[in-house]
Amino acid sequence: MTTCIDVAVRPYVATVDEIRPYLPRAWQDVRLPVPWRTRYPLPVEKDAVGDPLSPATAARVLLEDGGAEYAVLIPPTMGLQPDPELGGAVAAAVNEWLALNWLEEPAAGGRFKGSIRIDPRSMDRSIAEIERWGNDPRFVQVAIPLRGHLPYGDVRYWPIWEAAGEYGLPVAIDADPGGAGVEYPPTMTGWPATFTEYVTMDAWNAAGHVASLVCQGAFERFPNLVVVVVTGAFDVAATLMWRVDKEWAQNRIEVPWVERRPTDYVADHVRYVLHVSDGPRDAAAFGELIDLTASSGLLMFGSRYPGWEYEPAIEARERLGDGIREPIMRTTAAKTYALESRVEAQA
Amino acid sequence: MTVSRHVVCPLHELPPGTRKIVLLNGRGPGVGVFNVSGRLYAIKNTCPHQGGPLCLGPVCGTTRAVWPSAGPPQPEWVRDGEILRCPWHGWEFELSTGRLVAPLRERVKTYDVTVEAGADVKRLVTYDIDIEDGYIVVDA
Amino acid sequence: MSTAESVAQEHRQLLRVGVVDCDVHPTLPDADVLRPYLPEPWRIRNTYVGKQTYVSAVGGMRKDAYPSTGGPPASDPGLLEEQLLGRAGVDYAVMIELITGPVPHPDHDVALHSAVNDWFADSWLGPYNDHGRFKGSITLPIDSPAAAVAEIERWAGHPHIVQALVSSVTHQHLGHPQYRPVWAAAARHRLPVATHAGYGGGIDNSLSPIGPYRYQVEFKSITYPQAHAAQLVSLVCSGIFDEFEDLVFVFVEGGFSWIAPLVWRLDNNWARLRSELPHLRRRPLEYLERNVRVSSQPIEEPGNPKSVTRLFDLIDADRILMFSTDYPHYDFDDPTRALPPLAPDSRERIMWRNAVELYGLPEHRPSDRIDRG
Repeated sequence: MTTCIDVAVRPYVATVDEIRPYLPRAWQDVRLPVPWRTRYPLPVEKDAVGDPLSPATAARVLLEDGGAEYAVLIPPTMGLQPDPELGGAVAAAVNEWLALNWLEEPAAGGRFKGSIRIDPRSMDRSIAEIERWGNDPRFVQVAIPLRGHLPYGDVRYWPIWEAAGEYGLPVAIDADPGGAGVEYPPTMTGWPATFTEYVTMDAWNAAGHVASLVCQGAFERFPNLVVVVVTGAFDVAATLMWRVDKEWAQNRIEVPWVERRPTDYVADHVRYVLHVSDGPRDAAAFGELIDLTASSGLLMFGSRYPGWEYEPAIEARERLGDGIREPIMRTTAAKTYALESRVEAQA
Repeated sequence: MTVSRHVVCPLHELPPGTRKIVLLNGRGPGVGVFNVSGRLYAIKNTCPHQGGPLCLGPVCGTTRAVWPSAGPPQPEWVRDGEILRCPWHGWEFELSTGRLVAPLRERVKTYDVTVEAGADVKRLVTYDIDIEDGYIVVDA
Repeated sequence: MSTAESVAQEHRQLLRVGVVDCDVHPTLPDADVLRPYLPEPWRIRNTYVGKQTYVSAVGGMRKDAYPSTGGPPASDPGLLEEQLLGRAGVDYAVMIELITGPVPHPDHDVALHSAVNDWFADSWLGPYNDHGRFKGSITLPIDSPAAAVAEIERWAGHPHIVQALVSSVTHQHLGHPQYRPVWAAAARHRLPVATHAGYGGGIDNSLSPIGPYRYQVEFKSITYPQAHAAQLVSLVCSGIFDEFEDLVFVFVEGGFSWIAPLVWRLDNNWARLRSELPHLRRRPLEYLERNVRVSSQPIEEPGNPKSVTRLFDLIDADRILMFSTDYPHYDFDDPTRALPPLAPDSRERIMWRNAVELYGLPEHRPSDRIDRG
C-alpha cells in the first residue's frame, strides 16, 4: 500500500483535569482554562472518526487505514496564559501526558512521534523542556503557539532556536484553540464576527512570523533552523514573501543582515504543512500554484486529525500530481524529521 | 554598438561633490557624470528596475551588518561616497561598477571617463576650447 | 483652415485612454491650509496631519517629486501634471487623500474628514482640474457612521467624485452591522468604496496580531494586505454583497497577489463551515468579480516575474485588477515597466478598462494643454 508520513496530528484532552496530575503540586489547584475555550465556538461537529480522545483509534485510523509510517503529534496548549511560568509548567505537563498516554500507545508500535511543547515567553522553562526531551528519539520537534506578543524573528526568542538547533530539532508553529485572553486580536482590525473569518485570517499570522525570521536575521544567525508552519497557508506566505523581496531590494539599508533574497531563506528554512483549505480546488490549478510559488519542496502532508480541518491521506493524495505527490506525502517529512522511511529502507 | 567620445566640460566646471547629466546626441535620459572627492564616474541615467532617473539620486554610503557576540545584528554605515541610490525605489548601485549592493542580477551601465588635455579634445567639439584646460570625456 | 478653426479642431481632438491610475496621493502644501475648513475647537488646535510609525528607510517619497517651489511631493499640481500625466502617461488619476491622522476624539475625526473633502474639492477637483483628469474620493469618518453617511450625501453628486474612501483599519470589521447605513448610502449613489492603509477613528494601523515588528520591510509587506484581507472576509461573510449586489469595494495599496490565496482559503473554509453562514446566497469565490477590485501597486516582484503572470491567470486578474502608481510615494510603480508580461487584452483591462467601467469614465478624453506640452 502507498505510505505517507502524517506530520500534523492533534491529540487533545477532554478536560484539563487530565493534565492536572502532571503539574507541580503548587499549581495543581489553579483554575486552568478549559481546553478549546475560545471566543469562537466551533460551528460544526469536529470532523473525526471514532473516539478522538483515543490513541488506539488514532493509530488505527492514521497508521493502519491511512497508511502513515509515522504520525507527528502536536499536543494542545491551553492557550496563552497570563503567567508565562504557569504557561511553561502547563507545557511541561502536556509533554509528560503525551509521552505516557500517546507515544507509548501499543497499537502505534512506536510510530507516534511527539512535539515538545514550550511557552516561548518563559525562556528558562522552555530551555529546560528542550533539554529534557531533546535526546529522546520519540520527540522530533519543538512546538510553539501561533500567537504571542512578539514576532518569532525577535532576538528575545533566539535562545530557543539555539537550543532547538543543538538537538537538531525543527520548530513547529501551530494555532492554539483560543487563549486565556492575553493574546492580541487575531486580525489587524480587531476581533472578527465569525469562526469562519477567524480561522481564515488566523492562518495569515504565520506568514508574519516567517517574514520576521527573515528580516530580523534569525535565519542568518541560525543556519540550521527549520520552522514548520502547521497552520499551512503556504500560498498566503509565498505571495507575502514576494512583497518582502521587493521591499528588501528597496530598503536593504534598514536590514543589511538580510544577505540573501528573502524567498531564498524560505526555501532553506521553512516548511509548510499542506492544509485542506490551501489553494484552488482543481488539481491542475493547485499543481500550477505549487509550481509558480516554488513550493513543491516546502510542503508536507498533515491530516490534522481529529479536528474540523481533518483531511485523510487518501484525499490529500488525490489533490497532488505525480511529480509532487511523493515528496509532499512522505519524503520531505522523512528528511525534515530525520525519520528513516521503511519503504526506502526496504528498497 | 558604436562607442563615441563625448566631451562633457572642463574639469573645473565639475568640482568634487557635483554632477552633470549629459545627453548623448542631444537625447535623454543620458549619462550622469559625477565627481566624488576627485574621483570621476559616469553611469547611465536609467535605473534597470523601472526606468527611474537614477542620476538624480543621492551619492552616499550603505549599511552592512555587524554581529555582536550577543543580541541582534546592528547596521554599520560604510562605503561613503561609493553608492548611487535611485531616487525612486532606493536601489543601491556601486558607482564604479554599476552593480547592486543587494545580491541581484540587475546592473546599470557604467562608462569610461577620463580627463584629457584641451589640445587633444579640440577636434571633438565645435565650440571654443581652452587648450590649457583639462576636459572630462566620456566614452558612451 | 483658419487658425480659429484649427484650434477648434484641436480642442475637439479625442485621445484614447490608455492608463487609469487608481491610487494617487495629493498632499497639503502645509497643515495650515486645512485650518480655514475646520470649525472650532479643532481649528485652533494642531490639525494633526498624517503620522506613521513605520517609514521607509530611504524616505517615503520619490526624490525627484519635490516641487522647486517648496512644499511636499504632490502638493504642486504643475509638477504632478508634468510627472504623472505627462511623462508617466496617465490619462485619469483617481486621487486618494491620506491627510488625516489617527485622532482619538470622534468629533475631531469627523471635522478633519469633512475639512479634507472641502479642501480637496476647492483645489484638486476645482481650480486645478481644468482638464478634468483628476478624479477623487469622498474620505469618510467611518467610525462615526452617521457623519460618514452625511459626507456621502454631501458629495455624491460632484462631477469628479468617483468613490468613497475609508481606512483599512477600523474599530470594527467593515462587515459589522454598525457600518451598514454607510454602505447603503454608497450603494444608493452607485459609489464604489475604496479602502486604503491609513487612519480614521483613532485607530492606528501599527500594532499587529503577533506584536510589534522591528522593521518597515516586514511590517509593510505583511500588514497592509493583512488589513485588507480581514476587511474583505468580513464584508463577504456579513452578506452585505447579497443585500447590495452592485456594491464594489476597492482594496488599494496592498499589492494584488494576496487576494488569490485569501479567497481560495475563505471559499474552502466556507465549504466546511457553511452552517455558520446560512444567509450567504453565493459561495465566497463568486463575489470576487462582481463586488471586489484590487489596485496593483506595489505589484509583487518575485525573482521570476512570470510567476505573477501565472498567478493572474489562476484568479482571473483581468476581471478584478486595476493599475495604480501610488504617486508620489517612493515605491511608485511605473505604468510602462511595473507590471509583469501580459497578453494585450489582459493589459488593456488592467491598465484602464476595468477602472473605466467601475468609475464610469469615458474611453476617450479630449486632448488638453498637458498633451500639447
